[in-house]
Amino acid sequence: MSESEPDIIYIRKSDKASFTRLLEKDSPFYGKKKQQLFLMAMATGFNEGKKIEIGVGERDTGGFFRNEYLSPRERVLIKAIAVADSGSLEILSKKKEIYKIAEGYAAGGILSLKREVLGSEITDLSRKMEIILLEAVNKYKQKNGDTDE
Amino acid sequence: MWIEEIRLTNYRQYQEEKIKLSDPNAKKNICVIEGANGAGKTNIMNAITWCLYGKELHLTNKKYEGYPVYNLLASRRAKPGDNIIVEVELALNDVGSDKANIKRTLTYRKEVDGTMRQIPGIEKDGSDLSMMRLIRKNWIDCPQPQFVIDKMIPDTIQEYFFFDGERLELYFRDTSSKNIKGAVEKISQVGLLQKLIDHLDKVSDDIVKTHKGLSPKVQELQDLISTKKASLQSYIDETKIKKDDMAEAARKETEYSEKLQNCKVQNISQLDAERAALEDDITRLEKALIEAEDKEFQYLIKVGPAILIEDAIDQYLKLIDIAKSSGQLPPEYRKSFIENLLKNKMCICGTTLNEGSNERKAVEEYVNKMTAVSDLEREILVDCGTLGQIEDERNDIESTIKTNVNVISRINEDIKKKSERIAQIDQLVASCNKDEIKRWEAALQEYKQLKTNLLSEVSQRDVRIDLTSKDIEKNVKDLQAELAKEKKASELLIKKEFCEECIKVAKKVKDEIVEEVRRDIEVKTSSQFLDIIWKKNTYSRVLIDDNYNIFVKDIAGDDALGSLSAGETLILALSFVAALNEVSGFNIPIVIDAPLGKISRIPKIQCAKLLPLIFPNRQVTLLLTEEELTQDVRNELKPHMGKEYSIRFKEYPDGAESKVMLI
Repeated sequence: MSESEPDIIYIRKSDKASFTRLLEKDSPFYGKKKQQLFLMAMATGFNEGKKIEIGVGERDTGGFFRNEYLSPRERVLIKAIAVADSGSLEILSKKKEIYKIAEGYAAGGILSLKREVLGSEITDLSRKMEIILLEAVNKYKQKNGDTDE
Repeated sequence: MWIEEIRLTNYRQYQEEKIKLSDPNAKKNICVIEGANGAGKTNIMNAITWCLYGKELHLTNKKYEGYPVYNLLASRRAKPGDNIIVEVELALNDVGSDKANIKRTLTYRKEVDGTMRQIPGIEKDGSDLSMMRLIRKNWIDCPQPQFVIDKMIPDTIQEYFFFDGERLELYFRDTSSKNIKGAVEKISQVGLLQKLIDHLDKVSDDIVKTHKGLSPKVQELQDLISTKKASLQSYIDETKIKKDDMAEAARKETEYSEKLQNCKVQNISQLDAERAALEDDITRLEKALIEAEDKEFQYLIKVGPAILIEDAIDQYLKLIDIAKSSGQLPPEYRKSFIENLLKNKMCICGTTLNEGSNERKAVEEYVNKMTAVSDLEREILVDCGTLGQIEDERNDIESTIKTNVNVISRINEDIKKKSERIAQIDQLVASCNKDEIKRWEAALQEYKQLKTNLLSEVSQRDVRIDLTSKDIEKNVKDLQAELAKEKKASELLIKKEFCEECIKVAKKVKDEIVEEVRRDIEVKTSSQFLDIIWKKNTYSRVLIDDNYNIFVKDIAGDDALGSLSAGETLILALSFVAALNEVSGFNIPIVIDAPLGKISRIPKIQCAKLLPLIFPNRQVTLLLTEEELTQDVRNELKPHMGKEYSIRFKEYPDGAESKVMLI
């Protein structure tokens, strides 16, 4: 039987200031959910290939958000990263390990994300993200033989 | 008649001045007196009217109406107990060798407390008026000087000889028919005839009133007629007041309309309202922009992670496919199920699975080959579905982003356009005095409304006048019928009929005189205007119709009055005044204050060239500012200029005075 999912998702203690900063009033993420920020940091870290192992004493023990707040879609994205990282579906039975991997990638991506976000107005950030995502979509289409026609 | 000399003593800013004017019998009949605004030019004209009528008719600033006329410098220098005598004397030259000296005097005494107390004279305004006439080489004192002056230069028509040039160009714009009619009636001197008509009317009424022994019906009718006539007069008087008010409102409307037309910015209230609406729009759009940007960002952080980990999603799906094709999914049995069998030492077929038994070993071997995936079938299936949705979303990303970006772009464009319009309005408004223009706009609306209201009131009164007049007519006929019934009233009836006939004849004569004068003035104005206007092939005639409306017809037959330039309007006004002068039969000097003030350079020169031609052989005195008396204008007037003066302001520690210097 697979183990149960962890109740709380954590971030690295040393990253807490960065996450908090990104949720402040002057950040585009102000008013957004913590899990949305976490997923962006995690996706950024995965995209850049940066995963940081979080040691036992390095976690922010207060936790970042509760697992139950994740939507099924968000949960699937986390699992996809864990599967890609481990290379096997077996990881899916190790729930705690799945979230450890996700937390590692979030730690890896938070600084890049912070740099990108705080350096721009929301409108500029949106325009940057639009360009990045549209480029990624086009690259994917080309890779998979889709065309624009 | 002409003014040989004006002598001023302690009159307003003049302490002691003698101004000899030009002799009209010489070729050079024009006198020019130049002075800056406020130097005292208009007060020279005021001195003339004050001397003649005891009134200063051309005070440019109404607040000085109650101001004392004595020279302030003289009053400051006087000691308590001293008298200050204000004096204006006109030395007039008449036909042949007849002369007249008219002198008006006001005396003030300086009191101990420094105030000036007027010592009353004989005239109504407290002044003393005297007149000496040289008749056949003898100087004779006139016992009733005001009576004689009114015969020489009637007060009722003086405005056509001593006038404010700046108001001339408005002459034909402010309900011109009223102005024209007033001028014609005054020049026609039909006031006496009107007095005769009024008197005959009263006599006619009194014929019945004063006779005793008539029937009550006759008395009743007479009383009714008297009452209605009184009401009719009251309506007529009220209507006149309303029409005067209407004319004033029209004048004010024109004044403010011109002020607004001369502004770079008109309709400032509208611009203000537009600006406020634009600001509201921008506030609303900025809010919409924030919402649109937020919506877009929300969308991006929803789809963004999925796009950034596309490879991970692909790998997950690939591994699922592999598990399916290798038979791991769906599993035959779940690993946890088989492990449970081992735990319970019982197979589903009923065979016991004791420790060390071959059957148990076979099951253990089978379990060891199984993966955890078998227990995750349901979860993986669900994830498959979700991953499929995520893949579908990927197809919509481009179009969704494009739509959101378009919305944002449109809002930004809107904000930009409206901001630009606000900047444009600000620039327009910055170039003018906004508050003043708003006041003018409000005043213009007020006078427009007032004019409309007054027009309605006048119309109502006209109807009442008409009905009352008809009533009176009927009542008079009834009265005559009643009188005819009474034998003893036959003589009364004859007298009454005679009075009515006289009234009819007098009215007819009055109308004929006024009509003749109107036609005369029309012909002379037209002739004068066409003779001297510089546009020779543009205008065909000047008309003053039966309702005293003036028209200037162009060669196509259309009315061109509204399109005359300031210079052309001045020439028209002067031609009209010249016609009035000629028709009136009065040979009175002309004094014009600031005739060229509102005219631009070239027309100014043209007017200066033509002015001497309008009033040949008549003494003309022009009071000009230095802006009006340009070198070009002086060059045109010079051949006709008998005298030229300049008013200089002289300052002292205790005040100032004006001095008139001969050039």
